Amino acid sequence: MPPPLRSRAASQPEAPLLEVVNLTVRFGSPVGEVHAVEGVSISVGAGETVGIIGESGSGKTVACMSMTWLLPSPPARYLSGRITFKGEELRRNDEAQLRKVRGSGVGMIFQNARLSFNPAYRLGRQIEEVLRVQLGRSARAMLPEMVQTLRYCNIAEPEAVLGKFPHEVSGGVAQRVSIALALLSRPDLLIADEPTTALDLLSQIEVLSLLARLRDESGLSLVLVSHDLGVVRRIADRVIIMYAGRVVEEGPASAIFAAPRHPYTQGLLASALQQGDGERLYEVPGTPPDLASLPPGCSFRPRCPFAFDRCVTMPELAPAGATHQARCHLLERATEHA
Amino acid sequence: MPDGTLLEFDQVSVVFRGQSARGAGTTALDRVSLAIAPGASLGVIGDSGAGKSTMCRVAAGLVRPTSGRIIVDGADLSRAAPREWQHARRHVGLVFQDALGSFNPMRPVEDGIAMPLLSYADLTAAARRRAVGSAMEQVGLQASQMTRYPHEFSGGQIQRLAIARALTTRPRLLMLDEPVSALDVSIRAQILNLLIDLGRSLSLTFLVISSDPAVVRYLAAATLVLFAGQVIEAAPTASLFERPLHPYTIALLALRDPEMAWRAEGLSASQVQARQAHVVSQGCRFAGTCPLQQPRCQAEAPGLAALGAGRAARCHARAATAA
Amino acid sequence: MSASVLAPAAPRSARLQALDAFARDRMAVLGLAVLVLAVLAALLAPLLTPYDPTIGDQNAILVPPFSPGHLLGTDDQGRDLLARILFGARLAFPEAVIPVLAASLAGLALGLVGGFSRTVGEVVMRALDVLFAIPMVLLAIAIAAALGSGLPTVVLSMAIVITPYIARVVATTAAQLRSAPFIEAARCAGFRDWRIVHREILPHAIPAVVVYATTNMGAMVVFAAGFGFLGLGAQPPAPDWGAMIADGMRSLASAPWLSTVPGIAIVVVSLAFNYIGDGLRVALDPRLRSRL
Repeated sequence: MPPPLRSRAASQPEAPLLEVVNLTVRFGSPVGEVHAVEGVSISVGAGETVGIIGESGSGKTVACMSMTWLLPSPPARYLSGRITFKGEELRRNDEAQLRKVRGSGVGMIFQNARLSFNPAYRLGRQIEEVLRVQLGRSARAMLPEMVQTLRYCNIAEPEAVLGKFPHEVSGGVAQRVSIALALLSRPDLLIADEPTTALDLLSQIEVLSLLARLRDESGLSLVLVSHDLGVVRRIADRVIIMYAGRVVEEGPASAIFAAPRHPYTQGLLASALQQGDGERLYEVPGTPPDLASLPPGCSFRPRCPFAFDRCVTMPELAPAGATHQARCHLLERATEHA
Repeated sequence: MPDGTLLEFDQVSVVFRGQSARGAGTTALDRVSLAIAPGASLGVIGDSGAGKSTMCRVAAGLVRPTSGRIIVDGADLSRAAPREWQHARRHVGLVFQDALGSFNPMRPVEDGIAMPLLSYADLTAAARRRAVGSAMEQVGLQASQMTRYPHEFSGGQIQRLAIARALTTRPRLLMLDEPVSALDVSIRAQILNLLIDLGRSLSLTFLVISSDPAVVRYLAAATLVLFAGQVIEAAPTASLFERPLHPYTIALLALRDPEMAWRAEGLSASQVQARQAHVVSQGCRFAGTCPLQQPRCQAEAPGLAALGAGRAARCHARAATAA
Repeated sequence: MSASVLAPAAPRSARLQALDAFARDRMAVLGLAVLVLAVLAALLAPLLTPYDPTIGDQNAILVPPFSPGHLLGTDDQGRDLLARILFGARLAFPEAVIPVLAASLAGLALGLVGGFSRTVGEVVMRALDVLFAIPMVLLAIAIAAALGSGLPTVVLSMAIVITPYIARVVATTAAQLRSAPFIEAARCAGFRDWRIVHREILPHAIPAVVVYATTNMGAMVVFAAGFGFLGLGAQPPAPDWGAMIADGMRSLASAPWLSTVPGIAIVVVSLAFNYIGDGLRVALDPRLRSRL
């Protein structure tokens, strides 16, 4: 059975599918302004899988939600940022355009798929409703395709699952149903925000292999947001590391995992991949900074084992190879010494 | 070795009676046996629904076993009254999965940390405060923070507070239920290192329960793999990670280590999930989908067979090769 | 995590923190001030007014408010309204406070048992359900039939009527907490049931009751006035606020102040209670008060 998706050949070459330029998002709070995302630029090529890695408070979720201007403002304050999708600029106040893009251009799946369904209705009914509103097509006409897509997402008995309530299916099944639902509108880009975090181990494997299969068998672009390096490592072509609202490192997955250049990435990799002296693990000391009162200079400075005098100023994202960039003063020092 | 063990399960089963009259009940634990000697920390891994949390609750005395014996510090507590449980629990520290939830949001954290002391130690208020303060310092916090409320701490700090509470009664056995699952990656390593250090300096033995296999790697000398309430594999931790034997364990470990050569011997995730709810009257649960399948797998449920070098697996194929 | 957590702790007792949070709620402080003034006025009523609230001046019948000598005017019997309001407060406050206090204690006890214990609790909760099913006014009328009209009847019937409501608030809180992780932690730490209830659950139940009770005291002032209105409360010529409204109704068109003045008194007092309740809700919860 062919997957109900476009083939990789159909995707356009060169120009990025989605481009976010210099996005800055802040939130007001009683303790001060929260700098959630500061000057973040992300581009996603057609057919490309981009992994965004960050801990809680790194701004990764806010950045993702902002890709289709999904966060209500207020409370979010968009200070800067330009987003282009398929060469067309997405305007924040153009509801009709945004609805169209959200409905059929960009699909989103979230951490807790079961919560994203209304507990009072059967899954099938909710999917029908979304399809009717988004695609203007009747459920009857969509049923064969719906069943086929669910089957593609490894749901063995699609008809039975459609007749169930959200609480009657496991988290893993709910996540795959939500992926199937996103696929039905044939998006060019799928944004998955921590899609495996709430799942048990085997469901994580299932969802990941489904996403990997989508990447391989269709021209779908994928943005995978996760705190879990293992998850990102398995399917991302390119990786972006975020820390305290900024991109601190970006590059091809192979380069990032083989030779990380930012001390934070290095620490994260070492502690996540269980490297240590054999008895203790490598650990990044300290805790992520409070986004409402960021330290001056490099945000990672208080936790960085290599911090030196220059780190009191914020470093720029600088090239660390042909396609690899990092935001660290150590890079300049390395070139100066060379 | 009934003497000298800190905690022992002997053929412990837990059956939860079904909500409706039709069901015979769900078997959460099925004849699980284990023994933890001082210094021999034990890890338990398994997926959700495997019976890990039931196991923890049984060991904590919150759930009574339907059958089997539980021995804590040499005393059989399977049928014990709450008072006896309380006495035996003094030397067992507990760190709950939901560390933030395990502190009363309406009370300063010192009250939460002092709970075991109120029951098990006869101390003056001032002495109790000192004990709380020194427990907080042991886990890398300042004693002066004890008057703060739980919501004022970060995730990593709350986990440290939960560990501090477990340490107040100077336990020999520390039970850890998913000790780092709620934490950020960079904080996880801090907490695991703290536990490793405490284990060494206080001569603690751990029972660590985790759905993330990586967690038991640093804390436990031996590891059990649970599936559907049964121990499906048992092995020294190092050899389990080096070469898992049961096809289910292989599937479980493959998530973090996709390039491992032994992956081909494992079950696929969907195969396992299909089998999870599957009740078999006879034969192995994985019969029909398992790559190692033998004729007898359909007819006869495998027992937990000893395979030498401290290893055991519930698998006919492995038992045949070992024999 | 905010930076303040890392700073050395300035240990302030929970009570001080709660007080501080309450003091920062302007409406609650205003409510409290109004209430304190009202209570003082009730206590000092004989000093504040030269008039007797029950004896009228035949020469000053239906004097409108803001007249010299009669700030709030007089009624159809020539009784000074300010005096009647002040002395009436001596009835209104006990009518509101005593039943709520009694019901709070009874409701707390019943609710804790009902919500926490799985066996006895069921019995308690069903018994409360029966009380719920009885219409409030009917119950009050029945009690009045047995005891006669007057303050004791008002207090007793209101206490009985409110108790199940408060018990339900407490029981819901207790039942939600019954399987909370920190209760399990307490069990594992060897706490017995009574200790769990009083150390771990009570701190959650008390704010719930205090808030419910203060907000309800406002309603009780209105409710007690209703009793007076129905003639079940204090008997004439006692200056019951509710009865005053009822009397004033007859001449609402010609002398509107007769009903309006006690009406305003009731509204002001019940609003004051409401704002205090709201302030307490925030002040008693460490999570809410730290957000200020």
